[in-house]
Amino acid sequence: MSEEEIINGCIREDKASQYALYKAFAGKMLAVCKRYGRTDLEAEDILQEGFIKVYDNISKFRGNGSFEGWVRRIMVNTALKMYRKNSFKNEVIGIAEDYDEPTEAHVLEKISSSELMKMVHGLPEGYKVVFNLYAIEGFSHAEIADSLGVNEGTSRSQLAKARKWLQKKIQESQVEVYERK
Amino acid sequence: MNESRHPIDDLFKDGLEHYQLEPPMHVWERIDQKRTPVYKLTNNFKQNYRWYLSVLAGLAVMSSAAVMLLSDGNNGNIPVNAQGSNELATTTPNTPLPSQSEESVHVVNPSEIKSGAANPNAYMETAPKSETASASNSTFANNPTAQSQTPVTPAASNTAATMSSGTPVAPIQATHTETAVAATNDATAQENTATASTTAPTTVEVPVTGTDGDQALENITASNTELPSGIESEDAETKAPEATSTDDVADNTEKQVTPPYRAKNWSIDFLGSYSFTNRVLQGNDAYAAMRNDMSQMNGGFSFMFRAGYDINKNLSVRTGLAFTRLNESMKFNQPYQVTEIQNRQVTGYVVDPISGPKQVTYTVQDTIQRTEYTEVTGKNSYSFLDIPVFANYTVFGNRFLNVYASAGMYVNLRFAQGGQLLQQDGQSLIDLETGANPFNVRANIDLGFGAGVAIKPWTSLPVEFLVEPSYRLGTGSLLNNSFGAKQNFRTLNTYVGFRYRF
Repeated sequence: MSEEEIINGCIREDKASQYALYKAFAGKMLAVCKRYGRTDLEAEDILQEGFIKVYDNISKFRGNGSFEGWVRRIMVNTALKMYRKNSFKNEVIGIAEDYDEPTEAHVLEKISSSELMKMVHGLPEGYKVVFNLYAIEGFSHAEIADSLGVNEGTSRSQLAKARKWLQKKIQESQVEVYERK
Repeated sequence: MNESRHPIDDLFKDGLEHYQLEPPMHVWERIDQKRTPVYKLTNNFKQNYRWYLSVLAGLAVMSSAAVMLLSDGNNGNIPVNAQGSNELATTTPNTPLPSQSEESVHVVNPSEIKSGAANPNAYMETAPKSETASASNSTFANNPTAQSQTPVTPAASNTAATMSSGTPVAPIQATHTETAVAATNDATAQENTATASTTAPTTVEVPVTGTDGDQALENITASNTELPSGIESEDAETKAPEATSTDDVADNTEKQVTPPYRAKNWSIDFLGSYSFTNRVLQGNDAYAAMRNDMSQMNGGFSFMFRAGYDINKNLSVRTGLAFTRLNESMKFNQPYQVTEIQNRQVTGYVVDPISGPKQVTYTVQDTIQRTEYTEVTGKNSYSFLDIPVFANYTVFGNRFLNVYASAGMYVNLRFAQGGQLLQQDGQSLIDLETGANPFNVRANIDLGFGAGVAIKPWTSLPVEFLVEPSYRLGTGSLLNNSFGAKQNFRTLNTYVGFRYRF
C-alpha cells in the first residue's frame, strides 16, 4: 500500500489503512516519544494520543511537505502538551551560560544510536526537552521559549547544560570502551 | 550566546533522527478502542463536563428566575391554601373536596354562617387577626369558570367565616351557596385590594371577636356590588346590594374581571452583526511589523443571544451567549532557490605530438543558482464564545422608540484559532488545523461599550427591533505565545436583531 493510498484510506476511516499507517510510522514515532517521555509508559501514552490526533486530522493534511514530518510534528506537539501538563518548571535552574569546547568529531562517530538514545533518555527533564527540540527537531530558542512558556535565556542555559551533561556521558562511555579493549 | 550547531547536536540528530523501535501492538489496540464512536462521545463529555455543567447551571438559574418571576405575577390569580400550596381551594356545591386538602380547607355551610354555629376552631388558621380582603370577588363561588379566571373567593370567605365566629354585628352573607374557604395569604389579599381599589372602594372597620377571645380588626374593602348585607358602612351611600342569585353573580363577574397589570420586565434578544476588526500586535516588534505587513484582518461576524431584565424604567441588565469569528488573511512572497544547469559547447585543440593539433568540441555544464519568489496566501481565524454581561441605560424613550447606552464585558468561555499562521521567519506558514499548533492560547475578559435603538413599531406586540453599534476592546493578549508578539483585537459591531418581551 502506498503512502497516498494509506492516507486516503485513513480519511475514509478504513481500519486496514489505519493499521498500515500505524505499522509504517509507529516504530519511528515511538523513538521520538521516548526521547520526550520520562518513562516508557509515558512515551506510549504520547504515541497513542499522537496517533489519535493523526487519525482525527488526517483529512487536513494538505500534502505540503512530507507526511512523516507532519506526523512527527504532531507527536512532538503531543509530547510538549503532556510535558507542560507535568510541568518541569521546578527543575529550571538559573540562566547562566555554560559553554564547553566541542568534543572531537572522530570520538563521536563511534557511538551507536541505541547508546545515544539511552543518553538522551537519561538527561534531566528540563535539559532533555530543550535539547530534543533544539538539536533534533531544529527549533530555535524563541520557538522553544514559546512552546514551553519559558524565556529564551532559560532555553539557552538548559541547552548548554544538556550538552555538557551529554559530553560528560560520552567521555565516560569512551573510557568504558577503552577499558574493555 | 551561541546559537550555532554544536558537534554534539549533530551527533544526536544524525544518530536519532531516523532511529526506530519495535512498535508495540498493545498501543494499537488501545488506539483502536479509543476511536470507537461510543468512546469518543463519552470521552468528549468527560473532557468538557465542567463546561456542559456550567451551561446547564446557567440555564437552570435563568429558567428558575423566569419561573419565579412569572409565578410571582400569578400569585394574585391563584389562591393559596393554609399549607401555602397553589391548589385551587374553592369548590362548587355538592363537589366533595379532595381528601388531601381536607385539613386546610373548610367548607362553610351558609346555615353555619347565619347561625354562627361553625366550628370556630376551623377559622383559627384561616382568618388572620388583621387582614385586608376584598369582598367583591366572593360572588364567584358558584361559578367554577369565574373561579378559575379570578379565583379570589377565599379572601371574602374568610371574612364571612370570621364574622360568623362571634362578631356582634350581623353576619356577612358572602354567598348564598356553599363556599369552600381557604386561607388567604397576604399577597392574595393585597392583590384583591388593588383590584378593588380601582372601583372606588369603601372601607368598613368591623370589630371581630376571634375564637381565642382576641379582638381582631378586619378591614374589608368592598367594591361596588359586594358590600355584605347586614353591614352598614359609616357612609350609608356605599351600602352594596346583596347578591342573591347565581345570575347576579355571573353578571358581576363579567364586570369585574380586570387582569392585573404587570410590566414586561424580562426580554430575550437575538442579534447578529458584521464585525470590523483592528488588531494591535505588541511584544516582538520585528515579527509584529512583518505580520502587519504581510497580513490583514478581514471582516468577521458575531451572533448573540441574551436575556435581559429591566431593573427600573431606565436601567436594565443583559447576559447570554455570543459567538464571534474574526478572520485574517496573509499574502507574501516566499523565496525559493532554483538551480539551473546550462550546457555550453566549448571548442578547443588537443595537441597530438604525432599528428599535430586537433580540434575538439566538448560540452561543459554550468550550474546557475538563483532565487525566485512564489506568492503564498493563507487564512487564519479566531473564534470566541463569550458571555456578555452588560448594563443598559435608557437615555431617551417614548412609546415607539428607546435610545440606550450600554457598557459591560465579554467573559470568554472558549477561544480557538484555526487556519494558518505566519512563521517567525516570515517566509512560510504554520498549519494550525492539524493539531500541530505549537502555541498556547489564553482567553481574557474584554470590555464592551455601545449604544442602541429599540424600535417598537407595534405597541400591541411585545416585539422590538434593535440596532446596536458596539465596540469591543481587548484588554489582554489573546495569543500570548505568538513568537513573543501579543495580539489585541478591537472590534466594531453593528448588531441588528429583535427583542421579545415577556
